[in-house]
Amino acid sequence: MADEIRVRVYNVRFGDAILISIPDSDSSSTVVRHVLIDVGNVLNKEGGVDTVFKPVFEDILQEIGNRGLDLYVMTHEHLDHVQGPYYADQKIYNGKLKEKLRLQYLWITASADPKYYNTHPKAKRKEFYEANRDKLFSYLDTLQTDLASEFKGILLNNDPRSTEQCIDFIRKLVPDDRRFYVYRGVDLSQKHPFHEAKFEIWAPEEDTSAYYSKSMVPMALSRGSADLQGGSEVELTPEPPPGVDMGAFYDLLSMREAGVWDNLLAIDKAANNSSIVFSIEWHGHRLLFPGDAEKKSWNMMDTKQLIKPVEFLKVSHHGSQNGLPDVQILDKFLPKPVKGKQAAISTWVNTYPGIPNEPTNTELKKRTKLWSTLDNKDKLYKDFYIR
Amino acid sequence: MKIRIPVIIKDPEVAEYKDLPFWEEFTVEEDAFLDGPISRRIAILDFDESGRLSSGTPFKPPIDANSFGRYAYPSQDLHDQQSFSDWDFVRAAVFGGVYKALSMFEESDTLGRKVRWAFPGPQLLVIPRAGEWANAFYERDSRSLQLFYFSGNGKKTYTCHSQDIIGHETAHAIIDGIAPDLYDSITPESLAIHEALADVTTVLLAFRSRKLVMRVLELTNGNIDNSNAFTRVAEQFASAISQGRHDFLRNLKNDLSMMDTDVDRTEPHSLSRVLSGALYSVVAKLHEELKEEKDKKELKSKFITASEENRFQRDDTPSLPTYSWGKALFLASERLKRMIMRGLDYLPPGDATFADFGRAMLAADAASHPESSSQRDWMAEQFEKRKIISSQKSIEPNLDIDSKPLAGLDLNDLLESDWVAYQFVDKNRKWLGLPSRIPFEIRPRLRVKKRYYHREGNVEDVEELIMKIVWTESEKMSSGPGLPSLRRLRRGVSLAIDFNTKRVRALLCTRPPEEQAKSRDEFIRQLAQNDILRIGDAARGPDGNILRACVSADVMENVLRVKNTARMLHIIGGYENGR
Repeated sequence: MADEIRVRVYNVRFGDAILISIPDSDSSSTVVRHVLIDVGNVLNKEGGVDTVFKPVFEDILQEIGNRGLDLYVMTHEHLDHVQGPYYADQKIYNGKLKEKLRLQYLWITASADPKYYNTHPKAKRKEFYEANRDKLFSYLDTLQTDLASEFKGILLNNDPRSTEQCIDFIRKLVPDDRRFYVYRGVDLSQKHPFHEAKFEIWAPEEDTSAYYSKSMVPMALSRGSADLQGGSEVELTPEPPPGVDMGAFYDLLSMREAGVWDNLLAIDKAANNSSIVFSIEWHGHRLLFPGDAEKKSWNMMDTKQLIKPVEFLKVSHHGSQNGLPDVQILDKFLPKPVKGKQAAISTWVNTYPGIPNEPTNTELKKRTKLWSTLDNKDKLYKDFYIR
Repeated sequence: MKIRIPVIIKDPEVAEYKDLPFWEEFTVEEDAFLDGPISRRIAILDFDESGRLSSGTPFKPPIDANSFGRYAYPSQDLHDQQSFSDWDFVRAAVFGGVYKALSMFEESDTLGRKVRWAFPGPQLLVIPRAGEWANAFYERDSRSLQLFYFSGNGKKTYTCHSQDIIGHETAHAIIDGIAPDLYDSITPESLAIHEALADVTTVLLAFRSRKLVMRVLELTNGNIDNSNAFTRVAEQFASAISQGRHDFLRNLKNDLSMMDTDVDRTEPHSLSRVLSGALYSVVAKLHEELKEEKDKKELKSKFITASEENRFQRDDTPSLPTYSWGKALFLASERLKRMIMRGLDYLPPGDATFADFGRAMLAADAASHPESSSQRDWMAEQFEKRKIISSQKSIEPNLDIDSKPLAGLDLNDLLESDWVAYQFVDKNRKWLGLPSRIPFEIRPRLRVKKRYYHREGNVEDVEELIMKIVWTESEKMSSGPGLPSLRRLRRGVSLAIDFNTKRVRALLCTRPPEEQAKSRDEFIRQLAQNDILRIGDAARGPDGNILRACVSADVMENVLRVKNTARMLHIIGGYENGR
């Protein structure tokens, strides 16, 4: 495969796992180098079945062979992008995955640096979970709806208690001097082994608080908020005073509490927007891997004039409406018509509110030959060739 | 039962630097009052800063039929900043502030009826300490006004200490009750009408504070056509979020036009300044005219009627010129109030534009004062000058509407029977301006009695039947990828009939101009771009309820139907969005 790049998109249900194999030549030889982007899926429902990881890792290890993996990119801190390696190490390879992968270089999104929140206090999403995790889980347990289950998935996906050991395992796949916390503008020289392929990071911004929405609702909206903030015990369900309609009163309390879910989604979005978005240029071809970047990140990339036409796109955020930028931006990297362009969506049904999203697929089909993991649910992977 | 209740005059900061009293008293009449304060229509629910629901300010009933009930608060005899540390006082003052706004709309010469809320149930819940946030909003879904507090510049600022903010948010609730379609509108001008009228309400309420009026007129030498305490909205709030620099959220004294580069035609707050500026200019002009008449002592001129004037009682403090200016201002503001609020009553349902609102205001004024057009002319001039309309003719009221379709119709049947109403509308689609065969909905008909002060001096009570019909049309949409190619656009007709003579007082239909489709495209595009628009289940929380910080939508057969866009006005992004 000296004259082509192969992108292998694994079917891990609701999550990402992508292996890119790129011929790389220097003055003396040509080798095929491998970049692995994220391996993970969610924790809940059938979109989060873990048995998918065994055949995926078996295939990855077979593909990388004795040379090992050249670069691993952990795009962001969501479980559906980080769970796989730790699971495989513990459940499949008895603590030997690191030896088998023989990883050379590791890129991790800047905000996953353990020291990040000391230097960027404004991007303090972890505090939300620490303050609310147990309360939110116990509330969701009382609801028996599909939506409650999907929200539980979002909560787990963002929960540092779930993700931290997975991320920590990934961090330790390489020695300290081969691990890089990256963001737009970081110098990539000496951070990968490629001679021919050029990497460019389009996002995230180094300060991820830029992605926090104005729509963050204060915690004081949540009834019983005082006990969450270290105050005294508060009666969670007060009685309506005489003269106040009981139904209206309890509706009001419920609405005050609803701000918690807005915050959860806002934080979920901010984490998505902290995704490493990077392009690979090789022999005149350009491929784009945006993780789960949402509209705010796309807008930022556009403002920084980073967006260029690409031939292959890993569709962002599992094909959600928010993962697709505005048409003016889309035109810059996926102009119509389809002509030679390919795109892949890694997704699953009934896992995340609003995904899959048919209008998103329709728009992408006007611009690319689109494939989704849902098109061949039983296949382990789909290969895309860029030549 | 009548009570006397405190009302904050402006806010503690303005009172301090303008050397004004902090609060005054206002009379409220209802069937009953309870601790809270709570009445059948308004309930103050005060969750203290630890989240506990307070026991409420205790009510002291009147001792006899001729006396007033009161709410008891320890700082009863204080008239200074300390009052604002007394939460029994603050709760009572918020209650008073809400009632002051409500009463202004409900007066016999305005709507002439009790306002019906847009939500089910008779009671608006008011939360004076809703949480820590630089924000305040009316929220239809929780049937409430939420007033927040925030820290900054070394102090805590409570939005419930500002009568501008109380009045503004109460106005949103009232406007929603009168013209509920504006809340779900996808036309930026419709949302801007909501915002502009809420701002103008704060000014009209300020005009009703005699102490504030006299003080401002003294300071401005009788000229309200300048930036002053009337036109600057929410000064304390704005100064607090500006790190102590003296500031205000919006200034109604402006010359903005739709063509100004400073006006974003897709952003409701930005747009609202054009309309509120036009309305303020009219009241300033009216004031100047009335002052002039006063100065000439032509008290019974075409501008001033004795019956109107008698409603402004002289008190003992101001000097004669100030008193005269104040009287002129009272009359001017009453005229503008009637024109605006009755215009809102006549506004056709659906996505109304500024021009639709202008047409409704002029129609309402023409129906009551057909021979006296000066106020209408000034309003039309302002609309033309600010490029809201291309010619004054386009909003000119039709004073000669054919009433033949009403022949043989019993208006009581039309009022009470949905069957009769649907038959009447279906039979008269062409006359009403409804497209043929399109399904429609008739809103509850209203029978209202309004008082008219004729400029010749007499007073007339007119009973009218107001009927509103709404339907939806699909419109092509180009708002970006991931969104459908069509959207639902609401349109409507309003019909006002004199109940006694069956004369058609107004027949108005929304007229969405082509070019506003582009504003709608851009408005929806920006909602989507900013992650505010959420479609289907993506708009719901785990309990199935719509999330709070989003504009929800659903898609059926490739047509987008958007709801709750009025949340854009304050709920999403905070109050400073209005800047």
